[in-house]
Amino acid sequence: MIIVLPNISEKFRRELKRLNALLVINIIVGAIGMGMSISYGILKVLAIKLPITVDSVALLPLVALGVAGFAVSIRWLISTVETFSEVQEINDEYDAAAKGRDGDSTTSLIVKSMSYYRAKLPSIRRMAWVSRIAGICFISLAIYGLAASLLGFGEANLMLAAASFILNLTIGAVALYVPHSFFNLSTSWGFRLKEGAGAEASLKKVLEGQA
Amino acid sequence: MNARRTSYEIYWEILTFCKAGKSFTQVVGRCDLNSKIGQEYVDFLVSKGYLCRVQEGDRSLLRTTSAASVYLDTFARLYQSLYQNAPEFKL
Repeated sequence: MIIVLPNISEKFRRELKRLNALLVINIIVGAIGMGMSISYGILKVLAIKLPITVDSVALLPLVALGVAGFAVSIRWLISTVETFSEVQEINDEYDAAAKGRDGDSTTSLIVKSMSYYRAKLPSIRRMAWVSRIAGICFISLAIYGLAASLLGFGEANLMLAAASFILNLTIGAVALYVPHSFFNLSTSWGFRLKEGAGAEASLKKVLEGQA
Repeated sequence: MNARRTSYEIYWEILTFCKAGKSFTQVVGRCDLNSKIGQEYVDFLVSKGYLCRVQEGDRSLLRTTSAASVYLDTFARLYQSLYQNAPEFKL
C-alpha cells in the first residue's frame, strides 16, 4: 500500500525553499561581515603611527576586534557553506523525486531530513548564538561609530559616518533576525525528532511482530 | 552527508530498497553500512521473515516479503504524520 498524506510534498517544498533562503542570507551576512572586519582592522592598523604613542596603543584593542570579527565571520561562512552543500543533497533528492512522487520517495525525504537534523540541530543552535552575538557587535559598532563622529573623534566626513552607521545597523538587524529563524527551524525539527523517538516503541512492536 | 539514522530507519531503507530484489553488496552500498553491520540488519530481517533470499541465475538476491508491508506501512504513516503535525518552519 502506498501512503502519502495530503499536502505533505507541498509543505516539504515550502520548508526547503525557506531553509535555502535562510542559508543564502547567512552567506551574504557572513561575507559582508568578513569584508567589514578586514577593512575595520586594516584601517586601525594604518592609523597606528610610529614611534608608538599612547594613542597608538589605544588602537590595538580595536585591531584585535577586527581580527576577532574576521575569525568569527570566516568560521561562520564556512559552517554555512558546509550546511548549504549538505542541504543541497536533500534538494537534489527532492528534485529527483518530484516527477514520480510516491509514498516511498516522500517518506525517504522525511527520513533523510530527520537523520540530517538529528546530527545537525546542536550546531544549528550554536549558529543561532553566534549570529546573535555578531548582531549585537554590529549594532554596537554602528552606535559607537556614529557617536564618535558626532562627538568629533571618529570619522570626520558625516556622510561616510552615516553610510557606515546604516550598513552596520542593517547587518546587525539581519544578524539578530537570523537566530529567530534558526529558532523556528529547531522548534519545528525538534518537535519531529521528539515525536520520532516516541514512535520507536510502536515500530519496535511491529518489527518484533507483537502488534 | 553527515547524518544519524535510527535502526528503525535503516530497517525501513533496506526493506524499501529490496522490494525489487537486490544483492547484499547493493544493499550495504545504498544504505551506507559496513558489511558487518549490514549483515546484522539483513540477518535480523531474514529471521523475522521480512526479507528472503532468492536465487536469480548465479546471483543471490534479497527480496522484501509481503510480511514486511505492515512495518513499511506503519513506518510511512508515522513518519508522514509526525512531519505533517509539526509546526511549519517559517522565516
